[in-house]
Amino acid sequence: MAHIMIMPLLAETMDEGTIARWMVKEGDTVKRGDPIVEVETDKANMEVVAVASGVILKIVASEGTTVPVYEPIAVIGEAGEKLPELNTGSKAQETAGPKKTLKEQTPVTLPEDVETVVPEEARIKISPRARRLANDRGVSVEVLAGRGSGPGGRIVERDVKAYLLEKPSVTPLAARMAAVEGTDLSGIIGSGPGGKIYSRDIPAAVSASAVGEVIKLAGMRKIIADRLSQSAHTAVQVTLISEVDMTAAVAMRGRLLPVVEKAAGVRLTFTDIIAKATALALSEMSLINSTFDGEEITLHKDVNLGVAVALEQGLVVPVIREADALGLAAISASIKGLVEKARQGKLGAAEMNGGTFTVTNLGAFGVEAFTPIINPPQTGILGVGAIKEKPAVVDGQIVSRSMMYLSMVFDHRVMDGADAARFLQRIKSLLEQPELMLV
Amino acid sequence: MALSKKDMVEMYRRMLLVRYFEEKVDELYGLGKIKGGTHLYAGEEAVAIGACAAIKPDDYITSTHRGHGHCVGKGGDPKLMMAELWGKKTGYCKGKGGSLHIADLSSNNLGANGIVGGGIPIATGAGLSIQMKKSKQVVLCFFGDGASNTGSFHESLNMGGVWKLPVVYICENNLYGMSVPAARACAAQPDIAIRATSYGMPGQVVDGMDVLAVYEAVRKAVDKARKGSGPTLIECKTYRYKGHSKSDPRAYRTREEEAEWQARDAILSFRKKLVEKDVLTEKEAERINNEAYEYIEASARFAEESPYPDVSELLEDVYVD
Amino acid sequence: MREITFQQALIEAMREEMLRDERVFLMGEDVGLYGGAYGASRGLFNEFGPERIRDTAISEAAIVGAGVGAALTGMRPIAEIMYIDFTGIAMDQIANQAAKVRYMFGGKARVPLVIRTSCGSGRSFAAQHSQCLEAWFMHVPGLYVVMPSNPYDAKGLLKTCIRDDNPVIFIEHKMSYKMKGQVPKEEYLIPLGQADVKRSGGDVTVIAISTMVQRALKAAEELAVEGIEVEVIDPRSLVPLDMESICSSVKKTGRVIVVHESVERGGPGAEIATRIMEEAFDYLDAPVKRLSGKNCPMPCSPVLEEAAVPQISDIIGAVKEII
Repeated sequence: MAHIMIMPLLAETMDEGTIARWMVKEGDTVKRGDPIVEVETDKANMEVVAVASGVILKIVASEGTTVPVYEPIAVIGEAGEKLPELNTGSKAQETAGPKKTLKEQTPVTLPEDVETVVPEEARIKISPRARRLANDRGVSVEVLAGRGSGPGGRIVERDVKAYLLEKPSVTPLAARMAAVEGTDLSGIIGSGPGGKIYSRDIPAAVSASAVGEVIKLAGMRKIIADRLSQSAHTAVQVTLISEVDMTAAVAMRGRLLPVVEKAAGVRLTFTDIIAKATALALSEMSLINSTFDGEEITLHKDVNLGVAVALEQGLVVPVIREADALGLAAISASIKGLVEKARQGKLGAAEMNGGTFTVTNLGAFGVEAFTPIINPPQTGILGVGAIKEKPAVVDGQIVSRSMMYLSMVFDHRVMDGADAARFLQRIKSLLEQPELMLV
Repeated sequence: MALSKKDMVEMYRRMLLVRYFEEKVDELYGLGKIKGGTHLYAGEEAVAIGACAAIKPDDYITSTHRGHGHCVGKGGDPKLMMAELWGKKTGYCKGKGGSLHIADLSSNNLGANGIVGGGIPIATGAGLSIQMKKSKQVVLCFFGDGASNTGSFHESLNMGGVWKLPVVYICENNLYGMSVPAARACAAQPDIAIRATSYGMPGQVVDGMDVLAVYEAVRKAVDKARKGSGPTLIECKTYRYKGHSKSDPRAYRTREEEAEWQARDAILSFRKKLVEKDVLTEKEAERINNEAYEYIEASARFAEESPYPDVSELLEDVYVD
Repeated sequence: MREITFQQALIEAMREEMLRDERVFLMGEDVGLYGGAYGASRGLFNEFGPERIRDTAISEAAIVGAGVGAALTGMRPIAEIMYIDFTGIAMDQIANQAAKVRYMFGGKARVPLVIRTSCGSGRSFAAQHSQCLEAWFMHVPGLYVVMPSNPYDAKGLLKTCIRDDNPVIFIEHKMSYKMKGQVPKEEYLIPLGQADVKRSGGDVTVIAISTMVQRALKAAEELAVEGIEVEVIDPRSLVPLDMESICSSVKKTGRVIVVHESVERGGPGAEIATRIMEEAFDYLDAPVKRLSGKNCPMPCSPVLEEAAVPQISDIIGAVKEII
């Protein structure tokens, strides 16, 4: 079998070698390992040995020829053997000739395009975080130009938020609803493009503006308000509505009014009774009595119930600590005490922090049902509507009953509809059969 | 421990395996089939094979960048070595080490080393480990004349001497550190072995072309180390037939000098001795020679046919999980 | 809970691990009767003797190299290099041998070696005894790099490192040894690659390394008075690096400062900042800021030395600059 001798790789950096001298000629007999040719590389002249024993059948690359590495230079085999086909010739070149022809360089003229160069002063500097918020809210970066308050005039997140707060654009329906509610829409960021306020944002606006007031009363910084409203937008809020027969609760309140008045010196309200029922239900269902920071759900042992109360200055949400452990008189007294402090502007942050759930009652304004917004990091809020006399079917008879809507808004990231439904159902049972609260 | 006939035949076989392995690597490298740094041991076979014949399988060795001989000496399989040089998955190090880092931990070969002198502290640490575990093993630490001029050599031999560690330091003096003659690199002439005095251990010069002489010197040093009497420095005078690496045209030495050393070829002279002593007949010697050649050819085929590692293995083995 | 020093925490960690596993031993310059240049092995010589608390010659390459050899052959050495500045002498053994052996040998070797060393300025020791060189080692795949900032972390991390099968550079700041802190008597381990939030806050994230953690905490206290809430994160190990904790903080605050004593150019802050930009770019409200050692050798003069590394006031200034 014939062996093709190739130009071996003689050095790590070698690409080609020049045949300096053949020490054998065609027809000579050689042994494997005999030096047969001297090759000149860029480093030195080196001897190359025969890869096999036999007869030099052909010398492919003559002296002075430059051969790329791995190309054939000779064939060794048995005398008279047929030569194998060689892939050669094309790549081997005489050293004399030019190795490469450089392509003539044609100067390339680039079309002038001044538009591609943005002058430094025209570039709007905006942080990635701010750009993300702006994109999410459909605010173009151009309208934010000149508003940057970050280092070097960079637009940062707070600048985008400030822009959104300043420019409440409102749909006509939302504006009418706000007028009916008497809600001031300045400072509200809507859920539409560019922060536009839609009708769906109005119920939330009532609560959100309340949060703003709470922060002011507590002397807390605006940056936290920004965070709260941002959190409110991140919760996945779902509303369940249930109608409750309050006839028994109305009767009970009538009986207890003088008792509570005597015990605590305060007037028992339906809010107090609903708060008590809610606190009890919360103590039984810890998933609802929870807070969520986006990463971890914290289930709270204590039921710290926030109760939203309308004042002339706006809404405040004082927190009743361990509400499930308090009797009706104590709850009533606690709420009245906190409301009085709020009215005098003396409510401290400690008395508004740490809530695990909130009850908000717009029944006094004749609102039948509404969807409040969750007060983060809480995971649920109960909206209470007005109690109205309505015809109802009881034991097959149409009778007049005191009916009321409860809306349970919950964060679907934390719980499922069935959890919230069970909770709402439990409150409904406690209110329809108030004696259950004694069990 | 006197060498049996079987032992000597095995030494002869391993020397042949090393020689043919190196010649095959030379050829495959020239063909562009094997890449990477290749430093060939051809000519020095008597040192690795003679020294390794003097230790037990659970003794340790550390090797050098010119490490193929040590690996075979410690019982390594040329098939897996060839696959490693080829960068194949079936190689000793799954193709990640190559020639410079060939190691067979399962035979207590702590590996070749790409850094001149890099293995000397490691051998010393293995000796410390043996001493602390009282396990009666020894370590053979191979390195070259070049490594004897590194700081690692000095620090390690001093440490080994102070602690009387069971290490035999074996200097393979092949006369050239790449291209610089040892005579122009080592201040004390003509022997490196005399430096042993500085480290409180005996030093000895041995003919590195005589496999039995190497064996005998190492055996004595190993016995001494195993008894807890500390390290020895053995200098083996030897010669590498090929250049330092593939790109070395060997301009720093004469072809006459090469011929002189090749006339004293360790394998041929050992073969002659085995026949003279009636350990082998000419015919048996030739058969062993041919088998060794064929085994290396088969190793190359095995390596060529083996798969390359999957690219997904790139980030494996960086850390112990 | 009882309080002990950083130095005592290290001694306890080594002592407990040596009692637990007879393969564990310590070697280095003056670690024996003398008890280590910073007293981090005091008392161990008397308890364990010269075999396991092993004084060596001044031979850094051989200390680390012998550690590699002993680790490869079944021991679990702790090699002490008195100053991190001296690791240059042992760099071949650290970077080319300890770190690479496992990979080069196809995953068939393991090197359970801990290299304990001291770093940092504060004693006017100048250019060759004051450096923070963690970045050198972060650049070498195969090494873990650990830098504890208090006694509790030092003990829990060192015990973990001793039990780990990978080579670890365990870097102790020389100003930390006398620091006191709460350390329980009961055994505990701290996993590598788990950052610790030393203080929570929502306005700015400060990622601080080694002694810079204490400075960042003091800065955070002062800033809190002004209503700026700083979150201080201590990565504890730089390799592996807990990017999950870092990114979740960045998502909250949008602003990050990385504080370290080692010089700025090519330092750990460069790596951390880059990874934040890669993994949390959209959450950044300001460019990531580095606050680090100046790009100069460490000077002797106390005045210059102080100017060369970040101080509490620098951290406060940097926070205000990016908020």
